[in-house]
Amino acid sequence: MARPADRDDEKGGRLRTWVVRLACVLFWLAAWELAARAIDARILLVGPLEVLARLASLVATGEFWASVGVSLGRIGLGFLAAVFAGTALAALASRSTVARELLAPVMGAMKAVPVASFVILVLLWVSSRYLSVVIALVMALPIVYTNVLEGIRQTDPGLLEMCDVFSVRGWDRVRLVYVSEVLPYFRAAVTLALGLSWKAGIAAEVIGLPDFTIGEHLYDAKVYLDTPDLFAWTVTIVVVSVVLEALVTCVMGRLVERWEARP
Amino acid sequence: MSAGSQAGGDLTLALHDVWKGYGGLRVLAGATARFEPLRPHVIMGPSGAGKTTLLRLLAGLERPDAGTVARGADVRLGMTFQEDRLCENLTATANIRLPSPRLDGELLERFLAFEREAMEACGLPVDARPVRELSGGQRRRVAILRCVLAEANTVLFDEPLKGMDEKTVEAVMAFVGPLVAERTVLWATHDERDLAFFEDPVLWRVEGGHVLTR
Repeated sequence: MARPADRDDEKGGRLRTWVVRLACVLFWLAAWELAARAIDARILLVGPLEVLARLASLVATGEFWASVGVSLGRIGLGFLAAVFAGTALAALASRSTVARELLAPVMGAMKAVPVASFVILVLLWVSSRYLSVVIALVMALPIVYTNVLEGIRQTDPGLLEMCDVFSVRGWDRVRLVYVSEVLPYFRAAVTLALGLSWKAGIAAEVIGLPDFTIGEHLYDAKVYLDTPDLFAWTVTIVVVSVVLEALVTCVMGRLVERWEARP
Repeated sequence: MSAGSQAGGDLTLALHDVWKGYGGLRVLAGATARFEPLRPHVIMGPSGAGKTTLLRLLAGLERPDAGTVARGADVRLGMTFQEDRLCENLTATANIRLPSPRLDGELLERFLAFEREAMEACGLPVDARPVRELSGGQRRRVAILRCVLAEANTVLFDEPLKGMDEKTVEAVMAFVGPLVAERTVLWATHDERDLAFFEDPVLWRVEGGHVLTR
């Protein structure tokens, strides 16, 4: 058990780390502001203070929240579909060599083909409204599939023999052995895929230009050379990404903790 | 009624002229044995003699190269393997309960209470830590309790007390002994002191590819 002095040391260490990180961020923000002033051309570079002011005025509008909501909803839908489909396909592939071999080239292609090619291809097939849903799915699916399949394949065969001896079969075996063995892989896959889906989804919106989306605003900023808008929307994308990742990491951590700690 | 039939059904556990090898290594060569149901059997022999192979064959985890292994229709197995074989991310209690996955309501409450009692008797902490955070000796005890708390009428132990200090062994066996007294027990060990844990055990020796009574 950690002694109080150790805990104080640990707390102090953590505080120092945060102070150093904050100082680094402040340094780069100051450098950015100075660079913007030195260049003195708003079309090329705007300083963080101006971006913050622009962001504040955007946040006050309903359109901002509607756009964030629409982008988040569509990309989230594609991401969730990928999590379910990737897990189900991995389970199928772990049971059937035919399924695994059949899926291997599809997953390989999904990983290798550039997002832009997918975006243009998908635009030919579906309305631009659903483009980010499909792109988020395409980005996340191979990651979830590969990780979950790896988790299933890495499950200790000794545990499966133990289940054979104790006659633990079917769903009980999945629930008690596979879930506990695959959870760390699943958690890593979800965290990684979420960031990728979000960024690729926004990129797809910039090309597909569905109404009331973050991507559409980014495109408008480019067309009208509205650099403060471009920076403000980019900050929004980064903030949403960081918050989403923190939220998912926290929720997954809690779920895993609860699963591990059950009597 | 066959020789293995009892009031609890057909609890036969036997092998007849069994041959088993791995690659070029011959482990069992015409081994024949019949294990009387509901009695303790202590199987001795030096490391590498084939004790584990014998237990694995009886558990149905290996197929003989030749000969037959018979296991009665009513045999419900439990086993403590040479390795712990625990789900690393689950608590000790969840691991111990693993062979009884369908308990709920009052049955589950009763099992959990008995499980806690068993863990305390064996010197195991009852907490929410996953077993990966337990010591080697604690993990071993979890594996033993998983086996003896399972609803099994035939329990196989493969060097179960390996690596435990004498005091812990005493505490574990004081609890486990009465629990397995009315089951078929196959206890593989190379330590003669283990014989003292059982009343009137049948003593077997695995030697030269054969399973012999002594």
